[in-house]
Amino acid sequence: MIKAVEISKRFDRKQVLDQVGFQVRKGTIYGLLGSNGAGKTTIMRILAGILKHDKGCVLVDGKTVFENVALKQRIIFMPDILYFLPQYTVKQMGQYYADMYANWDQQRYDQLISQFKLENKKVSTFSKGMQRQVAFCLALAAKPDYLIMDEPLDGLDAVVRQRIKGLLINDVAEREMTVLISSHNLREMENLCDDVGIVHKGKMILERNLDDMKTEVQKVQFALRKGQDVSFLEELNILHQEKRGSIHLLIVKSDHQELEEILAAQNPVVLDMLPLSLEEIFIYEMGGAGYAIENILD
Amino acid sequence: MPSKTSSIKKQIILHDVRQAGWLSVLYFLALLLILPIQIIIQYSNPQAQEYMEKGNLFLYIPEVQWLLSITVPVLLGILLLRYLHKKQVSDFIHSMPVKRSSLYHHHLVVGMVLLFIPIMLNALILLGLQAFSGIGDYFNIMHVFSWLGIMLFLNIFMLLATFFTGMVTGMFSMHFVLTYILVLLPAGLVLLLIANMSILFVGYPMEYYADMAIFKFSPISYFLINFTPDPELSWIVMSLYAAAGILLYLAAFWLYANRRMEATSQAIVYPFMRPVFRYGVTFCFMMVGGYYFHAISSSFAWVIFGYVAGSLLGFIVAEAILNKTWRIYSNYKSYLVFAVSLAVVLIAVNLVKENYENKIPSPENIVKVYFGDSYTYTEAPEYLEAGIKPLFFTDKQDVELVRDLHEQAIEAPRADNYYEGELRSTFIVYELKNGKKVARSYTYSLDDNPELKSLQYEIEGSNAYKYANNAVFNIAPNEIYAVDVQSNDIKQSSARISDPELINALIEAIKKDIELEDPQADSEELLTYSLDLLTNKDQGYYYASFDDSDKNTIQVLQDAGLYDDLKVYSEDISRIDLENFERNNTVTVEDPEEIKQILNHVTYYSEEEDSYFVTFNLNRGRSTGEEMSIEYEDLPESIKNQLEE
Repeated sequence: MIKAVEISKRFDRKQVLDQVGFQVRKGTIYGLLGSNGAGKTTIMRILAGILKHDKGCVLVDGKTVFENVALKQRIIFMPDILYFLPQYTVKQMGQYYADMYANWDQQRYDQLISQFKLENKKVSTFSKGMQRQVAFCLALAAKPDYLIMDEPLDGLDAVVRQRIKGLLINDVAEREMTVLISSHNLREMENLCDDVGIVHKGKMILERNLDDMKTEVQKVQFALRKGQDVSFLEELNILHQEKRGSIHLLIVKSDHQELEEILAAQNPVVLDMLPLSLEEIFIYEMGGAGYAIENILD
Repeated sequence: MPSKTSSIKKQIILHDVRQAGWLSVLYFLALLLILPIQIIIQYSNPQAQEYMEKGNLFLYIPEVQWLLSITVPVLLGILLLRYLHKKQVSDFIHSMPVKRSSLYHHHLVVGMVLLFIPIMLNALILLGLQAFSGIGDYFNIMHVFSWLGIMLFLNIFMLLATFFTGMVTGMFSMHFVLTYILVLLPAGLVLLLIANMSILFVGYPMEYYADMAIFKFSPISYFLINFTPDPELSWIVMSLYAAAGILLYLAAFWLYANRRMEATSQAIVYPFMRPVFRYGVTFCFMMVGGYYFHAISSSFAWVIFGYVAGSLLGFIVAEAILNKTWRIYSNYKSYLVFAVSLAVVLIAVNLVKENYENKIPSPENIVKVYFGDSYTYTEAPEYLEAGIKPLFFTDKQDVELVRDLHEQAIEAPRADNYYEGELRSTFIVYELKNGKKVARSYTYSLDDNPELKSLQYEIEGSNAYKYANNAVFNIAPNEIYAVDVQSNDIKQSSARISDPELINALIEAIKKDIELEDPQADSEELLTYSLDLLTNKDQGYYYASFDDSDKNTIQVLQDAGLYDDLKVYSEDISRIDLENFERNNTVTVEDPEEIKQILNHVTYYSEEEDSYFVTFNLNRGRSTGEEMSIEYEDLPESIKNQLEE
């Protein structure tokens, strides 16, 4: 489990993180969302043991990461801009990781490399997308308990993206790997993460479990007969309401079935339970602050 | 969970070797060319072999050996620590499960080994040559070991310094600059301080302090001076360097453990060091500026201008480096802080200035006094000829005389660099009863300060002064095995005296002539002879020049029948060629009377445009062939007429 409590960090005079706190449960995928410069990378560099925070505490399995070799053996950090040792081939990079990480699984590495159809050439000659694949192969072959990835899906085509997501989910399910993933793209995180946290200007402004959210908030459209009493709506916890002609569109904080039953009881002419995107939930739930999220997430 | 990986990371070592190994190979080849190969080539060529000297291995292009020793370790350290100076690399390495202490030691040990191997291999080759070939006659095993030891010492010290600065900076380019600043700083700072003290305090003897061997303060200069056929390394200095090396190692270690990786790409990583850098650079630039304007103008207003301009420039440079931009005006307050603290220092300087400048020790505290124009001569034994001990004034009256002159010198205006007329640079060193020394130096005009002039001549005319400033008074005659006497500059002839009695007589005569010398009287004689007293010890010698006014010396030479060979008489000269300044008109003189007159007035060189170049042709003996000069007014009337035509 990763636990961050009120961590603060300054770069010279600039406050980069201001009392950020969050928790990543073991064997789950946590999405760290926020615009560029929000502080996501700094959080990750602290978790990877590269930086030392000024205040607060960061614990992984109850221990601090900084200069803790035993713990760092089980953590892999994949930065947004990848780095490979100059002139190193795919195989040599594997040897380097094998020397560093005790859990290194050479067989798995070879397997992954051939699965991605990567040749044993100098990594620097590869395209960005291929380099990213090499990084994933290295990370997964090291069999970490914690995988921290900064914007990992950027610049990958849909097929590869899907394959990598599959591999990640597989490791999470099989080995109970814990994943912390950052992105500025909410849609991308929607069907990958268990939990998300939104960071803005160095602060954690929202933390949610996505399953809970989806079951908690519903989008529905219905039409009633003319002159029918709508006072029953006052009983509902409505986040957003629109009326186009005779069609009502509602975003309601409620259980799916419960809401459907209430509405069905009114004998509507039309009743559709609509799918709701994560983005909509954030925007409607945050109400006044919602616009801020629209700005954060593109 | 037991770790499967070893604490020695093969891959880190491999990566370092891939990155920096080539440098080690080149270093090996360079040393191979300089030493074994050069030695073999010289040895196998019979002609070159003749000139081969026996001895230390620093005989072979020491400058290049020195240059390699101070650059290769620095380049190596820069390559090994490059990962600290690029964010992506730094993040990559520091996210790995390796402690910083382990990274540090991996790189340091690899660096040391990469330096060790090329030096050691060359030493082994040299030992092989020594043992299995005739080359062994030209150096011995101890020479190889001393070469090995000195090379390793300097190389590893430079590597440690580079590791230290690598921790201080977050920039690749600054790493290089900072390393050399660090190793030169102690010597440079002391030199600048001394130079500026001499501007601020009248009488501050810059040469006295500058000669305290400032070169020892920096390994770069210390080893430059000691990469010689016979290095004179002091154990104290070497121990201090060793201690400094250990300190650098520990400091770098501590800094790395506390390094904030977010400051990668900053010029100075640790915030507490930034003011040190900022004000250090400002201070040094200020001192350079002040001294520069002092040297070219001598006016104090310009010196102040130099201080202000220098410090501003230094401040701008330091800020630009720290902020990596030229837009630095926002931090003008820091400069004000500097200016204010500088003003405080200058006020403090003014408070002690008067006390310092007017200080003359009271006679009862003085044990002895040196008075002369260059204290280095008496203080530094390496400038002294064998058997000579520095001499001082001890007599109460002499000491009192020096104190009187000192008092006058304090009052005398500081002589301008461009002053024309008779100047004296005087060095006074009092040695006190409490073991301390008070040293002062002054440069003043004799013509503008008549009282000073008479005191100066009185002291210079005294025997005490002559004994103290002429080494011949301290020579033990039995140390001299021969005297070489050279003729004056018209004739090429010389004589060697090796009869001990004659040597004794000559030394006594020289002493007597010096005692008789009047400092005020300019010798009429224009042509001088020279002699070298050769001593047994360390192939030392004492050089002196004399002329025909030194009657006693001449008398000894005459009695020995040597004088006629050295002296040029007008009868010796068959012809004189005169050439005008523009070198387009030549006149030949053959009349004995005219030759005599020219001979009496000839000088070594004249800048006057109406002067003539003189070439002598001799009847007997060989002419030096060198041209001399004579001024128009000294020419015989008949020649003048001839020239006018």
